[in-house]
Amino acid sequence: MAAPESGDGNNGAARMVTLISSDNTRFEVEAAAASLSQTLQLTILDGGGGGGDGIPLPNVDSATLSKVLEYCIKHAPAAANGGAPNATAVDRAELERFDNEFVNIDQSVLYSLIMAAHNLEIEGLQSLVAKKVADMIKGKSPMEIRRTLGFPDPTPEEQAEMNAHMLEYGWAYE
Amino acid sequence: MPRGGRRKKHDGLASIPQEILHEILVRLPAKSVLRCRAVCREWRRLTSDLAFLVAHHRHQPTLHLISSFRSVDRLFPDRLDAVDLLSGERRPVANCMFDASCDGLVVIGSRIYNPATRQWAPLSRKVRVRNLVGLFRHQPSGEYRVLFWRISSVRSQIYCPNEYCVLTIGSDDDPRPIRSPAPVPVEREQMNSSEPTYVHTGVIQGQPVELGLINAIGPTFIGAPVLLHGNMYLHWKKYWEDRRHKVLVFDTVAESFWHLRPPPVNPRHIMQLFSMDGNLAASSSKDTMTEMRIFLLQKESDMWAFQYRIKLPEMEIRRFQEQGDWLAKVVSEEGDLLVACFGWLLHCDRKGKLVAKFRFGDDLPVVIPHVLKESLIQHTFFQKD
Repeated sequence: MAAPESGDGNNGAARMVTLISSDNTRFEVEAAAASLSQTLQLTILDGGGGGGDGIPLPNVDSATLSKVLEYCIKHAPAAANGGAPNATAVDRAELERFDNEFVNIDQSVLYSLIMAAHNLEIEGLQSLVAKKVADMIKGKSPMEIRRTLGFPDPTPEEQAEMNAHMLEYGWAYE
Repeated sequence: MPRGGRRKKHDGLASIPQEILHEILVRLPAKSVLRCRAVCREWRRLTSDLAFLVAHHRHQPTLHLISSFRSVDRLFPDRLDAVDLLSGERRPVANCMFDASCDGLVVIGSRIYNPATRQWAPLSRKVRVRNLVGLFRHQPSGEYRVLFWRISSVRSQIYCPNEYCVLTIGSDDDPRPIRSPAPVPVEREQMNSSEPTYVHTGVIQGQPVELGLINAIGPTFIGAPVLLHGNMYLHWKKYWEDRRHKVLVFDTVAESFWHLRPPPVNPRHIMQLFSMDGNLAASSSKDTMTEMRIFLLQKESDMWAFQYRIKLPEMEIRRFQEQGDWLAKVVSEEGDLLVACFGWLLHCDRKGKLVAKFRFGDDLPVVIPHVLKESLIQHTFFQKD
């Protein structure tokens, strides 16, 4: 799994790459963790991000990137095992606990995280945040969904359409 | 129109790009998706799109259906609950039994029903379908069809034979008779002869047929058909004499029957067919159900191979159970088990370890053979009036 063209040449030491956030903060992480991002994977395989170069990420600010990397570092070992078929139940329970804790965050942070996971194409994180927002919507009425997600108040026209739909599918609101 | 203008200051979840919104909403149960249609026009358009509905169906968990008696004085079960093993959620779905299920659609009596949209339609406007064998999607045409049997009008030497028919739901065509299943060849070693020998054979229109499958009483199909790779696997027994487990396969594309050699299961043991990792699998257990053996059909050779053995947590079951027996059933592709006993439904993993339990009061839960995967996909047969 280790990249043979690894620049530092130290056997045993994991290869590191540098990522640069939109506000110019440099993050040094293991290549294996950063490679959870489909977007970064190719660059890293080509030997990019090592030494003094660093990979610029103009769409991700430092607060969000540090959060994203926290996820990647935690999930990298399991991902290296190919979805970890041999992981113990304890390992899986620990990851699950971490995930639940990880998305227990403020909405604005969640929004930045969704956009970053999408831009960097980190599959596991994408489905984790999608699941989180889905759980926020589940079981709520349309008006509650609008309030939860910060929609502006409906116009009278929108309100009328909403009411008409609710009348037609009354049983879905039981 | 003005919506974009009013929202541009927003940097919150309300302004999530549509591509990501799609990923979020496909994870919701059907009822929540219907509510989302009232949120705003953009959401309504997104959640009504066919590509969305197909992805949504694919994301839905497989719901296991549990029948129970709401009140003790009833003779027939009158309540159907859906249980999601992943989330551990349980909710009522219907007040009646399902006779068949496929892609989120179910057959109840002579009607087809979608529990997610609450749409009904008759299976046929011309004939009354009794003796349903199964519901399936005909892959080449995308049509939903049912396989059933009825009393044949063909003159024959056999007293009152039955015939198998296929009916396309929502079409005005007559049911199409299918050539009757051929006889089951008896294994050579048993008959001590080099020629294949058949027993309980009749002849209709010059073709030998299996009497057990077409005689007046009709066959007993056990459990629900397993739909795999365009085939419908049916577990059947005869009403009378020999009690061997038999597997009849209906090829839904060629519309023909063939017999599959059954797994090596003692005729007195309980056998159940299911699918595991895209293969046909069978479980076998004695009446007491303290352990279960799992066989898997090998794709290349059509031979059964023993996979593994499950030991049920007998002590644990006894702890929950108040009286009577219990019945265990493999219910998931991963080999999870549901154990029904008086007052409780227990969920065990493939090693037999207890994962979760559901309380059923003074009631006997029964895991019915059909499962449900919700779907909001629209069908033309529901729209006709």
